[in-house]
Amino acid sequence: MPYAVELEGVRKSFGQFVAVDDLDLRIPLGSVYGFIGPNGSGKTTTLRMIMRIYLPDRGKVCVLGDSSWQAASDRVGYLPEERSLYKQMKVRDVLRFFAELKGCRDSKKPIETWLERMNLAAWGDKKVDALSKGMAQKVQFIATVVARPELVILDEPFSGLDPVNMEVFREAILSLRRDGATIIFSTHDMAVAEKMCDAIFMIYKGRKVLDGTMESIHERYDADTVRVKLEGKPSLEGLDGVLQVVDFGQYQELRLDPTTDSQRLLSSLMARGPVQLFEKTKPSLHTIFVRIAAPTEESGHA
Amino acid sequence: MRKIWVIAVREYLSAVRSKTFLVTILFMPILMGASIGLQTLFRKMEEAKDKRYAVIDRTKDQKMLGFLEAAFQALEMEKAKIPEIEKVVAGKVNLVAIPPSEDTPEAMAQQRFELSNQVEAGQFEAVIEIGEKIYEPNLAQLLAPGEKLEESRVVRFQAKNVQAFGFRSILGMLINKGVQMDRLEQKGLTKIDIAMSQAPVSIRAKALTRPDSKTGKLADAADETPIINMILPGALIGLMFMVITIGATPAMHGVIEEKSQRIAEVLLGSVAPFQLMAGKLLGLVGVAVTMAGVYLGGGLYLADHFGYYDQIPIRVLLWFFPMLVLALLIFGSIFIAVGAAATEIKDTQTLLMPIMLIACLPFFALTPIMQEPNGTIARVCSLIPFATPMLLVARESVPPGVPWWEMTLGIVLVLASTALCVWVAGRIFRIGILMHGKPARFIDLVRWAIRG
Repeated sequence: MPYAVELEGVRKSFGQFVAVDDLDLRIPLGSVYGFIGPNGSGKTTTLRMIMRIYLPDRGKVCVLGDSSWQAASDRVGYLPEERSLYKQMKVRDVLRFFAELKGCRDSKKPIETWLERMNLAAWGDKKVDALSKGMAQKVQFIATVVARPELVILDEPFSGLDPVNMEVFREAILSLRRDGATIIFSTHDMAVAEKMCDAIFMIYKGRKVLDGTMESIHERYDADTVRVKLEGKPSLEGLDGVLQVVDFGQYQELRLDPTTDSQRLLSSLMARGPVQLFEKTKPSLHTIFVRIAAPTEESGHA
Repeated sequence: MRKIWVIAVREYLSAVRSKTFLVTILFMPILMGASIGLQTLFRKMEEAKDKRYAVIDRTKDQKMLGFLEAAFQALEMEKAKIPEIEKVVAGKVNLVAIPPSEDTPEAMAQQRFELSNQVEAGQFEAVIEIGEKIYEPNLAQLLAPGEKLEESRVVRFQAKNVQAFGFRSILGMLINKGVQMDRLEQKGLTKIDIAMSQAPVSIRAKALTRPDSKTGKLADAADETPIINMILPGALIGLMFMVITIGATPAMHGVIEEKSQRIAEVLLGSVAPFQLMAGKLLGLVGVAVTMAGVYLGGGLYLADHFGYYDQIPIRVLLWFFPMLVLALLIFGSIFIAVGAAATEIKDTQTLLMPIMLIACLPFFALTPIMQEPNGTIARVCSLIPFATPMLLVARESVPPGVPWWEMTLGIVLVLASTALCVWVAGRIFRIGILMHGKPARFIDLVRWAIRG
């Protein structure tokens, strides 16, 4: 299977600090790949190595079949986490500038199409300075994709967006995929990752801890979670066979010991109060993330 | 190369469209216009006003006054032929004869006081009081030159402020001429004899004689043109230094801005760090060359206006631009690298200091270099790459110019150092541009440059 990105045994350190260690990763062409992980775990460093902004200390990085360490490829669009645009330039000028940097000479039509699609057509001749944060973020997104890149790398594209703009972004990203692009994005929003991504890669303390399609990830975890709701919300502490209780407010999630009999658990719960919800389920991506990255379980990750 | 160009064009346009640039560019014509305008205005004012001088001539028959009146009239006629005289003695000189007072100290003091009041009131420029005995040769004066002379043997010049240096020197020259002619006539010489014996011999300043580079024949050296020789080297160095500073500083600040506003990484998603730096460098060169062009054009116009155009060696201006580009590449790459290493504008000062100290070392020897453009100090200093472009241009502007082998060696050294500077700056830039938090120290720059 052809890959958009291939990393092999990649390591990157800054002084004594190892940011990414012994990382293997293959991202298939045409997929939407989510990068998750706590802050400072190595997501951005990995993305920057894919972008060839950083050179790895060791290992191989191959992007769209090209492993040379030369200029960033014109076939890749990159939206970094910390981003801004020239404030004194007009929106259309700044977009044309970025299109030209990617070698797209005739950028007029794609710029207009994208401005239209992002509801920004009226703002094209305004200075970037005059835009709201959400609009500026849309302009940055357009600057990333205006030259029709084959691989689009978005570092935290949804941070700071309101739900309406989030929908606009989500639709835009999916339309890129429909047009054949491969998309990598990092996010802290597990629900978005779960809904949008074909596959998830999780990095923790510089090492890969999860990698695969959503199905394969869920398969790795047993249905060891029970979602319950009891009338009057009595305390659920001290139940036999329950390793952890996470209170979500409206309901609680109980993580069970593998040997726990769920029927016995249900009767213990009924003893505490009327049960309104009892659902055996697999852990959500959010739960998996917390399980791996929670401070109390630091030594317990895969 | 195309990406470098795209970056360069953006940098150039954003710099050229900025208010700072417009102000700096406009400053030149404004200054130029003001200088021409003021000069014309002053000349008009001077011309309009005849200058009246009160003359008390105590010599017999007021002989000196008669001579001076004739001499100043002659000078006025000369002005039509030699405009330079106008710069020394502006306006028409009117000598107003004042009958001398009695020869007592009180009466003389009283007359001087009255005339002083009239000078104060603007009726006269000055009071010229010619001593009675100025025509008599004075042996004591020859034997003891330092001795203070009695009042009757001198010409007093009293004015509100005793500047009027040009007029005073002309006046002194004329009086001495009159006295000498009179003394010689007393000895029986005719006016023609005197004029012929006093005909001056002029000294012509020439550069050294060298064989012509093409024909090999001994060519006559160029005439020294003192004013241009004094002004041009300093002006060219000054212009180059100014243009480099004005051009490179905004580029440095631009990099800091891109870093602090997090534009840098967006750019690095599309271009390699080296391309980004090269583009900025190219843009900076464009901005600075534009500025130098405007200033130099203005300078040439001024030179033309004041009649020095023919004395400017155009060949030197042809050297100026390539040398300026080299200097810009060296200093520009350093400034950009420093910008990349800094997190705020104030960081740049500490980082630039050691670099600029080394860079400016040759300029501490500027005075001896200007006095002797082909002396040992000048020749050694112009092989120090940071100074080479400026010094070679400055030295080339003074005949006989720089020997070809020195020029070649200088250019080779500059090219090599330019390449080194750009390469080192590229390495510093690559690391610095994504560094946030604490500012880099000078030692970090050295480490980045070596390790990459």
